[in-house]
Amino acid sequence: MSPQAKPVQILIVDDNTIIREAFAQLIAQESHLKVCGQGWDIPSALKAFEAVKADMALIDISLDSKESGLELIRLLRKKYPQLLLLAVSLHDAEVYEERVMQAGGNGYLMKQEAGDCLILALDQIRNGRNYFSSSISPTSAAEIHPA
Amino acid sequence: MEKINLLLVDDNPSGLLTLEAVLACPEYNLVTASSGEEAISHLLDYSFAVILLDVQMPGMNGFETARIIKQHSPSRDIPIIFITAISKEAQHLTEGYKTGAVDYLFKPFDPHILKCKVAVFTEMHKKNQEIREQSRRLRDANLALEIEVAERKRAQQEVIAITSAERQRIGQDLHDSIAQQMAAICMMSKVLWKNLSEKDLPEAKNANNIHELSKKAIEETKNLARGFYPIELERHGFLPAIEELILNMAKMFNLECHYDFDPDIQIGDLEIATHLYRIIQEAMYNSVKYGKAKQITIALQRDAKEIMVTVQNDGLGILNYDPSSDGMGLRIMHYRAKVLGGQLEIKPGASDGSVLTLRFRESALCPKP
Repeated sequence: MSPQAKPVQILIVDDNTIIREAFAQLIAQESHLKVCGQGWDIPSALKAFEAVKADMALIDISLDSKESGLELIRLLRKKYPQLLLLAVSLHDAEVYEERVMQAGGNGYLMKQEAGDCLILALDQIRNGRNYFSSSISPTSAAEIHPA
Repeated sequence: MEKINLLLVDDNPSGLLTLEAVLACPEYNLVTASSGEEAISHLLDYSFAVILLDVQMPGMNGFETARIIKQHSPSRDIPIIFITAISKEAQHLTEGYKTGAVDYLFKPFDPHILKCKVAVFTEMHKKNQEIREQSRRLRDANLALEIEVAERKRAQQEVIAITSAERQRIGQDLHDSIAQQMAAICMMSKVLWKNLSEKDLPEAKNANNIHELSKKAIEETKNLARGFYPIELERHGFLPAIEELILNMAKMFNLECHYDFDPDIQIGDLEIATHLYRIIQEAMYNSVKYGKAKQITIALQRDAKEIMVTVQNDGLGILNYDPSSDGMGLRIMHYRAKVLGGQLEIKPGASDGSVLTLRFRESALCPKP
C-alpha cells in the first residue's frame, strides 16, 4: 500500500473498554489501518456507524451479555452491504463462526489469537477473502493455523 | 391418675344406690342417671368406659336408650350392660343384643360378678385409651417428621439455589471480567513485544513470554468459568453451548468425539438446558475418569413422544463406576433426571464401554410458568 493512500477505517464494537483499547493499540501499529470510532452496544454502534464512514468493523459477538453481537452483524450487513465485518470473541471458533457467517460476517477471530492474527485477518478480509478456520474455508485455514 | 367414668342408669333410687355401693372405688367416677334422657345428656359431658343400663324404666326404656346411644359417633363404642329383673327369656335377650348391648346382668345380681364384669370393660377401656394415646403420639411424631423433612427439603433447595446463583456469578465474572482483561493483556503484550523488538531490546523475549502465558491463562480461565457456569447456555442457547463443551472436552482429554443432535428439538428453557448440559458434562467426564475412554458419541434424539439423550463411550465399561466411593456425581445426575421427570440408566455398550441413556417426556421441554 502506498503511503499516500487513505488508511482503512475501522470501527471497534465491544462492551469491554480495555478490550477496545487493546484492539486500538494493535491497529495503531499499522500505518495502513486506523480506528475511526467505537461502540459498546447496538445503539452506540449504529450511532457511530452513522457518524463516520467505516470500511471495516470488529464486532464482539456477545455484547450486553446476550447474542446481540450477531444481531448487530445482521443489521450492519443489511444497512451497509460493503462494510467488512470481523467477529471477535473469547468463544470457540468451531462453534460460532458458522453462525457469524450466516449472519453476514466476513470472518471470526478469537480474542486470544488477536495478538498474533488480528492484522492478518483484517488484511485478508480487506483483500476480499473471508477469514474463517478450517471447518468452513480450508484455503484460508492453511495460512492461519499451520497444522 | 384420671378416674374412669361409669354411667349408672336406673329409675329406681335404691337400684342406683345398690350399684353405687357395689362399684364404689377410688379408681371409678360414678355418674348416675334416673332416666334414659338424663343418661343421654351425660354423654355430652363424659367419656364413659361402660354403661350399666336398667331395661325397665318409665318413658324411654333401656332398649330405646341404648339404641340412641348406639346411633351417635363417640358413644357408639361404649359397652352397655343391661340390668334387668324381668324376663330371662331368649326373645328378650335377642332384643338387647340387637341394640348393641354387650352383656346382661339379672337382678338380683351377685356383687362380685358385677365388679368383675365392670372391671373387664374398664380394663378394655384403659387399653383402648392407651392405644389411642399411642397412635396420637405416633401421628404427632409423624407430623413433626413430615414437617422436618419438608423443611430440610426446602433448606436443601435453598442451598442448591444459592450455590447455583453463586456459581453463576463466579462463572460470569471469570468469563466477562477476568478472561476479557487477560485477553486485553494478551493483545497489549504483543504490542509491547513488537515495540521492544523494533528497538532490538532483549526484553522483547519477556514480552512474548507474557503473551504466550496469558493465552494459556485465558484457556484455563474459560474452562474454570465453564465448570462454574456454562455461560454460553444463557447467551447462545443449548446447542452452541453443548458443542463448545464437547470441543473443549475433546481438546482437554485428547478424545475423539462425535455428536448427533436433532436440530428440531428446541430447548429454550434455561433450567432444563442446564440440567441436560450438566448430565452430558458429567457423563463425558465419567467416561474419561472411570472409563478411560478415547471415543465418545453424544446424541440428542426424539423417540416417539420422548426425548432421548445418549452418551456412549469405548471405555472400560460400567464396572468402573463405583457408586460407593464417588457416587456424588452419579446421584446428582439422577437428581437432575428426576427434575426432568425422566429416567437415567447406564448400561454396558454393545461391544465395549458403556452407554448412558436419559429419557424424558417431550412435554418436559415446555415447563409450566
